[in-house]
Amino acid sequence: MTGAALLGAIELGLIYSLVALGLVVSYRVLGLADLTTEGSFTLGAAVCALQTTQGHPVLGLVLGTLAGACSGLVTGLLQTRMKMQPILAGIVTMVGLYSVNLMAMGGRSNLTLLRLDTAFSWAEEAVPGLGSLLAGGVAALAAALALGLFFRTHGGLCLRAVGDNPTMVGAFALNWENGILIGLFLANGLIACSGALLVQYQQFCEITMGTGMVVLGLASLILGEVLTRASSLPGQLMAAVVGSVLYRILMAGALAMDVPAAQLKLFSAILVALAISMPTLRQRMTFSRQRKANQPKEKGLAESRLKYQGQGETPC
Amino acid sequence: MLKLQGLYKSFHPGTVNERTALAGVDLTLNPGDFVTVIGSNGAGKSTLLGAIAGSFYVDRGRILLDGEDITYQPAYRRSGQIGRLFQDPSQGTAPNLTIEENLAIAAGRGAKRRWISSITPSQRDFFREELSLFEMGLENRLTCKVGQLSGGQRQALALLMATIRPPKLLLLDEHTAALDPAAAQKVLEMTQLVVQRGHLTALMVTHNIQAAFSVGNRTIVMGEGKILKDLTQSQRQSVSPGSLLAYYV
Repeated sequence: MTGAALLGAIELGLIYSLVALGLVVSYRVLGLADLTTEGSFTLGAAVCALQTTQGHPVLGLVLGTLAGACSGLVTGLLQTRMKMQPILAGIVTMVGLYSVNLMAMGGRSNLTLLRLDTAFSWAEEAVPGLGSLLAGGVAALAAALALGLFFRTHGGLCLRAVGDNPTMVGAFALNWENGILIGLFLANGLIACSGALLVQYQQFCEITMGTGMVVLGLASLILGEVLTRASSLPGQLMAAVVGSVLYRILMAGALAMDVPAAQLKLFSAILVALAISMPTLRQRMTFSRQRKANQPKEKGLAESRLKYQGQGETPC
Repeated sequence: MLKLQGLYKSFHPGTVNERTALAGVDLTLNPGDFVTVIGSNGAGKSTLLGAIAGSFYVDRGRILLDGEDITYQPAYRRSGQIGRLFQDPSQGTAPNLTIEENLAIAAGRGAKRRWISSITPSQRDFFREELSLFEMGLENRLTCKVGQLSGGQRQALALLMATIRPPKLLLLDEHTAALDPAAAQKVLEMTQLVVQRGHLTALMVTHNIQAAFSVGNRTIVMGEGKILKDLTQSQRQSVSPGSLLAYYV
């Protein structure tokens, strides 16, 4: 793999790490498989792309993030106020967002931001060569740090309890429904921010860029968790960033090994499946080692039996 | 303190499964009353506690707490003044949070919740002190996840959580029924301790008639959604627990 490819992979990983961080909130903390993710990622990208073409890259990042956060709120309202199944609520929002995203892009299915001012073009001007890496790193670390601080507050603690035991939360004068709303708002805001950053980075926005985002984000998160053996929340936040970067490096590695572009999706699916089943595989290996150690020593047993028969001793 | 006026509640109305769980319950609790509730399965004991806690809204009647009409207040808002313990110890605590994190959430009830650091050192000292009261060694395990505790320990913690900010009313729904005899005894003793200490008003559902008569200062017997008997402390002493079996139909 060339240095440029590695650098690009790390930059991408840092940008995508915001998706994994969002999933820490919705999947790990609240225990929801939130499919809004696929739509809110593109929404953030679309809103940001349109603003950037109008010459407002910073406003684009802010509005894209907010728009995505609000789409999370829609899913949350369906789930809590309408008692819709979490998976279904996410799918409903995701389907609706497809049209919203097309509208946000002015009716086109792709937009180009070539030669326009973006956060990354400014960063590259300031620090040639490493600007994008720095910008991505700042975004990822700022998001991880902000989340970490939030979960240290009393409000953050209550949010964790909502995911753990809603009944208990209700018994202490807290409305768990509001917890779901806040959590999905935060999660999808982060995910949309990732989409917004990505269009500015790759200078291109298309309607299908959110497809598979839940699984990719989850795979990155789990890959990070498995490798860093993180179980605490701050550890999970770091694992999300580490896992994202690593996932992108592995993908870049596959490209460098001349995996045909057409087979890249298959490679990524295998990687995802491997990452997600890693904890189970590890558990199984530990078990089989334990089982082997617990086996009676067949050979030794046979010898002692022979000895007993031959010498007429009584076994004790 | 608590005033229940003509509470009616039926489940699945208009279907063949219609069941009247509360058929006109009137009850007044005075401040400091510790009332035990007995009755057969399906007598309406748990429904009564659920109605007071707001798990569902009653069909008819009014619920007044300290003069305030809470009949249509949502459950999470009532819980600012009402503490509740369930039979299942896992319902009252969050398993993946530590003991001190659980207590911090409980301590936030009815208080202005702070958006700064969730647990302060002075709070930690306070938790340790309160836990040592139970003599279970929990005070040394503040950063232990609650899921690792035994049922008895979890219920003890749930009891402390429900009362760490004294509620106006404490509802105990067979909270010792799922515990082994020793743990049940321990939790019952602690219940008496915290109720006495905080001068709490409490309603305790139990199937243990012995406990129902020895705990608290008043016992009500329920059957078919009604209060059949309301025994004061002196009346309790003149009734033999055995004669109450007649109400278990």
